[in-house]
Amino acid sequence: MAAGMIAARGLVKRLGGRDVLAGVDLDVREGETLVLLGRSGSGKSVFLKHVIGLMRADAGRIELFGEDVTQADERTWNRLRRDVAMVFQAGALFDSMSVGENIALGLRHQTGAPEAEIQARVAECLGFVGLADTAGLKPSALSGGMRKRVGIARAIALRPRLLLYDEPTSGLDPVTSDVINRLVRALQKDLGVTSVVVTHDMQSAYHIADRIALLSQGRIRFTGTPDEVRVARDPVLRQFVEGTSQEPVA
Amino acid sequence: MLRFFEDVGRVAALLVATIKGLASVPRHGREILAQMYALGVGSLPLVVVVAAFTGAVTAVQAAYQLQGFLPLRYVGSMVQKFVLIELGPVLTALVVGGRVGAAIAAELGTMRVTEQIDALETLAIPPIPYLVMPRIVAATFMLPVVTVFADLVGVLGGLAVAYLSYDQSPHTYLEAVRNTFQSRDLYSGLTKAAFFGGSIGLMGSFYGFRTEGGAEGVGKSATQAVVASCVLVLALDYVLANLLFRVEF
Repeated sequence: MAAGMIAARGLVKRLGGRDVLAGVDLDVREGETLVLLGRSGSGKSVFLKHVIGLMRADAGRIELFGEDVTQADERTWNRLRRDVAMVFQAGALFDSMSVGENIALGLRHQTGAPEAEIQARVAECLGFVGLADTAGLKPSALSGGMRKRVGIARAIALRPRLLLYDEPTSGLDPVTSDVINRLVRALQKDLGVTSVVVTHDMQSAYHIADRIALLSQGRIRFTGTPDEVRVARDPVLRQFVEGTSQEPVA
Repeated sequence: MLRFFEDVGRVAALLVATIKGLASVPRHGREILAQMYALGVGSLPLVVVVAAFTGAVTAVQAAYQLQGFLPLRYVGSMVQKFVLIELGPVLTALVVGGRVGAAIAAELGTMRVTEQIDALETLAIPPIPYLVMPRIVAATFMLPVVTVFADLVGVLGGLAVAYLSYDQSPHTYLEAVRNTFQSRDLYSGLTKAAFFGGSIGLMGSFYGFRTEGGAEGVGKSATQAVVASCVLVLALDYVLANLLFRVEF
């Protein structure tokens, strides 16, 4: 199996009587940003949840940082989750806590660092996403774009090697989407973070991707660079890129 | 039927995981205290109102049953026995079960459908010790505390009725309470309350954790948690009554 951050082979997940993942083969290389495209319900988020151990595969195999995690126990996952983090679609911020507490939570539980150090890291992460003055606010006081940025700040607090983004620009206006896209790029450039980004947004995909993969009917149908996507003739990929609802929808 | 036994198994698994999570009590002390305040202190006003009327009604019923058989000075004894052994713990549990069981299920259910529980896991924070254990521990400790208040207010509610409706002096009423008081009644009632509290926390957490869908799912979980809490309280009451009052220790 190829060495890399993620290596999935024949990954199968059955949900509601349907093979949402029907044999996914995908490699993610260190330092790259891979964008995973696919229609709603195609299993993109389900794949991400397998990468971070929120779901277990029914068949197939998945490796993370070269370690087989297909049947990993909670202890193994808790060790690995120091190096992999996820940015959720709607932020998934803890609404009973302030923004600062949201970011500090993982640090308090994982590092045992002194409080001053934790607060400094919280400020650093919020500064990175451009929300330095929001530490005392509750998530309910933030806009959708700000919530996503706080979600990113929380995800990078523990300095992960791998970041998983679930629809980071969905529901955002074009300007805020661009802010998020630049942030994803900056994380790769400045911190060397490897990223897997699930999205429908082709603009965003072209902007941030080193490689783009298309998930269709439970399998990876296409993998290539943004330039290869632009000239690809695969009808399903063309349909997705051009956003047409004519045949062949798959 | 199969689904019922599946659920029983899942509840048992959640209970075992919670018991394992007790090792992290010192780490989650602040959360446990916050839950104790919310579940216990927050429930007091409602419990006090219910207990006052329960004591008052019990006094009326006791006087009705004593008429023609025994002097009314025993009203205090009957109110005290009924309230300490049965009405205080059970009615408090049903009231708190409605309020707290629904609140726990709705809070955890909302966290489930908004992926906050998934987010906790991705931060390597096991959700059961962090979310479930503090709620169950808080409910187990606070229901007996709230029941003590309910017992006191219930007995005083009976006193008010005895004084206002039956011209009984407070001294006579309280003497009857004191003469027939047995500490075993109080401890047994409070033991029941602790079990009831644990079961309310467990049911709220169980239904909250398995919430699916959006707002509709959260509402459904809250309803299921209340129904299950109340049924479990009544079933446990029967089991514990046999253990505590029929078995000699």
